[in-house]
Amino acid sequence: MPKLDIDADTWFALNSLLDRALDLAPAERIPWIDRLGTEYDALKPRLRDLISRGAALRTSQLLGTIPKFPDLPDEEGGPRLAGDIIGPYRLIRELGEGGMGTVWLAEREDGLIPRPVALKLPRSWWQRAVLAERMAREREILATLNHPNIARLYDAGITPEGQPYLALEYVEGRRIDEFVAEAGLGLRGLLTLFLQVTDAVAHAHSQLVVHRDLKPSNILVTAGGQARLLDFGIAKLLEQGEARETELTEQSGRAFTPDYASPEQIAGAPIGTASDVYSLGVVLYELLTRVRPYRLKRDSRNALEEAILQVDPAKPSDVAGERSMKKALRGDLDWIVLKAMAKERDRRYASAAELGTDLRRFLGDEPVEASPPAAVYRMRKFVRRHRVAVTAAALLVLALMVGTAGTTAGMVRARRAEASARTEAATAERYSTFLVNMFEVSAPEHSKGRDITAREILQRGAERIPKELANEPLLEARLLSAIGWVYTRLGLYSDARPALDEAVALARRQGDRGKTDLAQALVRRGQAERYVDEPGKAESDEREALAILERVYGPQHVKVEPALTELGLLLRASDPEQALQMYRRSYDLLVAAHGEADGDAAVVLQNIGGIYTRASRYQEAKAVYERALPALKGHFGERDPHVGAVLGNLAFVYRNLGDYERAFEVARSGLEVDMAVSGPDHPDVGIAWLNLARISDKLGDERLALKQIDRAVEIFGQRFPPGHTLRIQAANFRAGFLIELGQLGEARKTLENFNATEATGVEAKLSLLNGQVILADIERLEKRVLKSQELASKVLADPAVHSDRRLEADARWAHAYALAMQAKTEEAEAEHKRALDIETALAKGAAFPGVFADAKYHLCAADAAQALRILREAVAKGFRDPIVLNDPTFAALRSHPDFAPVAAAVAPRFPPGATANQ
Amino acid sequence: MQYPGYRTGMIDGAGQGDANPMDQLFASTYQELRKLARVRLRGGGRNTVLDTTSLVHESYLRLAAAGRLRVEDRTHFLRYAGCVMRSVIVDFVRQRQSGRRGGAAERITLTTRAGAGVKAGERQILRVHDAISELERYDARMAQVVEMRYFGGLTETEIAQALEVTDRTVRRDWEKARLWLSNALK
Repeated sequence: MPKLDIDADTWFALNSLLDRALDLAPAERIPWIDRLGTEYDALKPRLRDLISRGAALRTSQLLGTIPKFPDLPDEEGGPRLAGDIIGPYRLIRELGEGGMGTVWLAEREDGLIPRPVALKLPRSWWQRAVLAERMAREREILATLNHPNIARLYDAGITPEGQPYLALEYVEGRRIDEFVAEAGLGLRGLLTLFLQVTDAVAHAHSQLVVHRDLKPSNILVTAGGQARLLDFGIAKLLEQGEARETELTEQSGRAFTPDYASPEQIAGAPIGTASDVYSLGVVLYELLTRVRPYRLKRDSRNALEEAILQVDPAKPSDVAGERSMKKALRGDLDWIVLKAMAKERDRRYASAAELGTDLRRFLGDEPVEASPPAAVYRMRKFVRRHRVAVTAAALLVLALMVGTAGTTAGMVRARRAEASARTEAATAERYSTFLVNMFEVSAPEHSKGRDITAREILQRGAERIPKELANEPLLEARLLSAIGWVYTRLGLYSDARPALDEAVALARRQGDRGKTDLAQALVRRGQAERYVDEPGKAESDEREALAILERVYGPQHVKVEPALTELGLLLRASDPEQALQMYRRSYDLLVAAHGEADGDAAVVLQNIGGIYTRASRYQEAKAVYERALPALKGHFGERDPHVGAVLGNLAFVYRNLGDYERAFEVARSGLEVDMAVSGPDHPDVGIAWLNLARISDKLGDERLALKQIDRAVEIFGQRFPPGHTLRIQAANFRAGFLIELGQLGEARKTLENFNATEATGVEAKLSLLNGQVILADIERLEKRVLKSQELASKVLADPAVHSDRRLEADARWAHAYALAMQAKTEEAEAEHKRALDIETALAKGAAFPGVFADAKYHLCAADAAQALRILREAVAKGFRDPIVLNDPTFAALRSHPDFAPVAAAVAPRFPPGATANQ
Repeated sequence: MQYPGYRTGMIDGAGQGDANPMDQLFASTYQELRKLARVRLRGGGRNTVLDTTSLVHESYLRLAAAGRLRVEDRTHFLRYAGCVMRSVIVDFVRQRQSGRRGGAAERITLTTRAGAGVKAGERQILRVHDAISELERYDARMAQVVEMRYFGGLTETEIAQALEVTDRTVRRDWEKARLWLSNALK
């Protein structure tokens, strides 16, 4: 225990003398003490001691701040506070509290969503594993609902402490029933507003998402009269919680009324789009009549449930208060509302879209569909007859679409498909092509992010195909090949391989008859192999495919293109020149066949940009990407994986050309596109995070960069084996950021995870070597210069290093640093020159070749003056890489007075964190 | 471990009598203050701007909004807040120290930039706690200034209001406390 070692009287005396001394100017204090009378002699030494500490304390942090424990876990169960961090969100203020938990206004910490969100924090009473799985499955579907009248679900997850969270678009508005009552909307205005609601629900239904909890409090109307639906699909997420909630509320005696629940919800039967139609009917009933549809004998939950299941509600026109309203409702609107609220699902509108259509017919004075029940029954019979007539293959589709989704959207598509297939395509060949198209529709660019639904479709398809198509091996091969391709597109590589292996084997057994199918399956299998980093196998598949296609169609035919493009992708690291030739051939074939604006041609263009980027030919890369972008958007739409990729690449090029702000904006929009299209855990999204991290770093926010890269690390960790290039690369970047943050130990740990890793391909190998170069830097910073030198020369001794000039330059720099620090001047100078030569060779288009490394070298050689000269010259020409502020080697320079202008020039002007915090 | 002495002493000192309902009222914010203390300890990166004072103030406003506090109760509340946060933080550090065995220490990362490890931070907190206890024997107000500022994270103005003295007095107390404690805390 720290002791003051003083008695109370002495304290008192000293303390008052201290007060007087402190009243004086600092310089006068000691002389003043000296002048004090002899009666103070006993106190003087202590007083002098106290006063003399003051000078030191003026600059000291003593008691200034409390030490921080960043790893301190959040307390479970305690109330939340503004400023709390929940997953990637920071709470701003509480918006409300409800049965499910609390809702907060929050913002995303990593700047991904620059707007505040409504963050729902359900009470965590579920079993975590169950909930985590549920959240992961649902959020990918829900996050893609994109409709102006639907408040978006941005994200859902669980923090490591087990707190589930849902991030929703924040909407300011009034409940629809209150809005209608107060705005004094006439019938037409009311129905027009309500159509916004049915359209929004219809959109969700077309995306196979059911709301399950439609009620006035979930339908807000903004001041501008825009309806916004909240909590889409969330009820399903929280179903288990609600069941529990019900139990709890019953125990506590509070009333809980399922006013808008459909009969099947009450009965606990499966729920589909028809349930939403029912709830919409109840909402409309109330909006029109201002009363609830059921009159209860006693006010209890049981009575209500009974009524929902058994009692037919009164016609709206019978209960509406105003005479004019009664008149307006009688007839068509009565039928429309009651049809929506029919007890039997089959008698309701099959979807919100149909309800909306009928309301529009009413508004346009056309005959509405809702009327005598007989028509409904007739239609149902027609559908039944129709179904019997379909062939086995169409049944497969029907079963897949309807069985999985259970919605009319699927039905409509299936029915339409069925009809067109039977009339237009009698032959098995055409028919199977159609089926292939059906499957291909499930790839992300078509399904707009419904990964999981698509996956379910595929799994069921893959299970049924062998059983149902045993006699049609070519059709089976084609379907499996399509399924494999979709799996690959979804990033589910381990699922893709068996399907594609089977497809290749089946097609091969068909001999000549299966040649083109074999080539297609080979192209697709090669692609999957490329993604899992098995370039050898991939190349042999693609070369076989290319040979077949050239034989069948001739070398100038556009059908040859897929194999060429795949080969280009495979060779881009090991043989960029050959890859470029492949791409150019692809591009020419595509443009010859489809014209300049062709989407596939733009994709190849993007690949060509990749080759330029790798060769540090950034100006050329920029030109190519900027040419590809509008073509890609035009062809695939704004929300498409290709658009996401080209944005990411363009951002990278801007970054390397020194335009960090533009790079950040472009990278962020690329990330948004990737997340929207592919779901938050797709490897493309990981790559986008990685890109963004490397730009945040350049904008001077290494902490943000670290957070972003950790997302990439997490995604790659889930999707790839440990030796995968992307995992290694992400770790390398992470280590680099950590070095800038001064966390050398953590940086070392990150790299050492890969110590025992075997590279599976050239790229992985190069990435591992890159990690060794970074490790050499850490060793040097930790003053193990010999170890650093050894690592660098080992990398340089590896023959692989010479296939990547960038890596070679970095290794040579590391080597030169270590030599310079040992004052091995001659060797160091020689290596320095070699490194600079490579930088100059690579310089085409790069903003400031080797400036940072060169300055660093001179610092290692203890020549701060030369380092400063280099930096100042570069700054004069516009160099502004903030790494010189962060790299530990530059620490020595920072106190140098001449460094200040350099620091000022490179200081980030526009930190991304700051913009995200607005 | 709680510090009942602080709490009752403070409430009594505020002239609110013994069986004061204030006690209960304040206690209702205990969880929240606990939480606040943890937030303060956790700190955060450059993106986390935490203003303890405004957070404490918000807790207070919630009480006040319930219509159960008078304006002058704010000062009592601030004192209570400082003391609860101190006890929570000290408890936390002690728990952490006693809970750490062998491998657990491995997980604690050092931020080389700050130069001080987590363990050093723990030691510092306990030493400040002890030093305040010691200081209290001589000058209770000075001790309270340190408590409210170091543990509570309150501003000079807030502390002055809570202790019903001028800002200048708080500044002087702070200056003297630092002088007195500079040796003990070295």
